[in-house]
Amino acid sequence: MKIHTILALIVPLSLVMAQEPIDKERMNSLAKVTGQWGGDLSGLIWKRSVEDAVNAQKPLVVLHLFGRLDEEFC
Amino acid sequence: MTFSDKTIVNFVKQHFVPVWESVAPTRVTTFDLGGGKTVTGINNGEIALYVCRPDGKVIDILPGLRSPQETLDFLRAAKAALERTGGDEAAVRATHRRLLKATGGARPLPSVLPVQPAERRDATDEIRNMAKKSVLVTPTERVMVVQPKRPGALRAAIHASLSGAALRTPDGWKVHVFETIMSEPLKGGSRRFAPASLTVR
Repeated sequence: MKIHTILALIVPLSLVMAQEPIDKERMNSLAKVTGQWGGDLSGLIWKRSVEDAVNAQKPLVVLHLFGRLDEEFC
Repeated sequence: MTFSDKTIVNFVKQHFVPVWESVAPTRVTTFDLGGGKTVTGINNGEIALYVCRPDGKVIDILPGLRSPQETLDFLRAAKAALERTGGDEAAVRATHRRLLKATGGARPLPSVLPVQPAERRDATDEIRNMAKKSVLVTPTERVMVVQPKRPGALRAAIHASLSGAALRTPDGWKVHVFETIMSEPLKGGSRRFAPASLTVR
């Protein structure tokens, strides 16, 4: 196997491994804001309780789930 | 990922305030099959979606994880019902009575496994819980449990409940929806069952 073939196999993997902690930190920060793991600012911004969401105009959509929507593997 | 689907996200953003509440921690259930083999399931797939008036009173419920299309259809229908009735309590009950009639009335929810003697009830309940859903079981590996089977029966049970009760918040419905209708105990944490729990004597 030639050296550039070996590098082509190794480099992307090492880049992914190097990026993972940064991405996870970013995902955690975004999840805190949006209330949804994997969500982004263009998606839904979830409230965490019905009491906080009650208002005079808009109806509510309430999701009941086991675990937390803002955590990985919920 | 239903709540990452662009159409659903846009629909919810435009018409609703989205809220999530955790009803219990995720539950990890392990069956010891003996000889070093185990089956472990993460029972975190069950959800319930409530559409509420702006004051937080529930007007419709979708029990169990559904496809994005089913979820969107439910949200559209609930929004239309809310606009038509204004969330009036008597009108909400009448709507569910009509829907219940259209589904052929309430029928007993089908059992997947036969009822076992009382001492094995816990293990049986738990595996019945897993068997009711589309579950891939691989010995010694964790699996994710999702997707209810019997969606029509679940909806009929919801119509029966909402046609005969005063309006409540999601918190007021959660025990009935999860434990009575979906047979999903509101208990998290880890449970482990010994080999004898699934064997015959």
